[in-house]
Amino acid sequence: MAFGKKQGHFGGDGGGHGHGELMITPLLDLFVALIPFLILSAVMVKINVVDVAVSKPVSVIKKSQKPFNLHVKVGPTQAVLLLNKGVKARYTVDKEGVWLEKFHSDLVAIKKVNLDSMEIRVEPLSDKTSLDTLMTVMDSARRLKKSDGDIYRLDEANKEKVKLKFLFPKVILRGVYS
Amino acid sequence: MSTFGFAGKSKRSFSGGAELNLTPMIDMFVILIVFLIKSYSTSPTYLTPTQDIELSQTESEEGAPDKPALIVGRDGLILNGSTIVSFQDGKPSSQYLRTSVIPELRTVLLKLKEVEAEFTGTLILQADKGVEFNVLKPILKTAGAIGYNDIKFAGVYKE
Repeated sequence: MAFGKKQGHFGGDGGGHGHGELMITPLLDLFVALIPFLILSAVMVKINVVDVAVSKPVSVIKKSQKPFNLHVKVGPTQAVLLLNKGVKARYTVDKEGVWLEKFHSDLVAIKKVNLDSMEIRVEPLSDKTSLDTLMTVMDSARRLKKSDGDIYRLDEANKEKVKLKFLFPKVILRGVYS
Repeated sequence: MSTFGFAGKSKRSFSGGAELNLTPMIDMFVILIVFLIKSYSTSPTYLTPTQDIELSQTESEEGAPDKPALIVGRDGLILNGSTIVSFQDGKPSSQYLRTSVIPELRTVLLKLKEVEAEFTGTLILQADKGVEFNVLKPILKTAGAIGYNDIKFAGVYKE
């Protein structure tokens, strides 16, 4: 980088009567140094978030609501899917995530007959359940994949079919207060 | 944007007498720097990854809001660059695990709550993917008792 000779540095000859020139070489040097610095220092990854509500102990249950209780208990080695307190499916948790495919397709099947339901409760089966396992389950429960096909629900207000973007977007984490 | 319109009038000439016009290059640099500085400073979606923690992957398209991020690493709990509680072997002391409350975290979050202009109860949890639920439990319980009930688990976006 050239911090070269001071050529024409604002009338460097001492005269300075209107014909001085701005020496832009240092300015260019600064820019050239600053751009790689900014690019390299900003080594960032796009971090997104999964919104989770934490289930709190309640004393009153709204009985007017339609009974729909989708609940998944997940541990380091096994997981259980419960619908309205009945066991819907059991899975063996593997690191490759094969069980997630089955879990997800089960959720899609449940969603197709419960189009208005948005909630799923996720509960660790054991204290050893890792955050990664929980995140994977939450992700799988929220997202509707392209391979799942289009699912529509009837919007009562507009009498129009609305294409669903999510499976069960409202994830409630249980087990914190118990 | 010809900011440095005079930039090209260098007396340095090549053999043919042609002059290098630097004005467009300087203009380009100025635009690039403004863009880089702006994207660096104002996008909360791009959190700087913390050393020693490996975030889970997520397909969620919800960006991280401009809210406090509590880092749960192997060495301890970190908020705004300062360590609140140190961990041993990647876990808080057994006392915290037993009582499910972390007084130091409570104190810091209470101060944070007072300082926050618009308190929404949102707390971003930037936790290592290997963190076990028994470590998260006292953190969530302590935060929830103060009013931080809108927990957002941070993860690296997986397309």
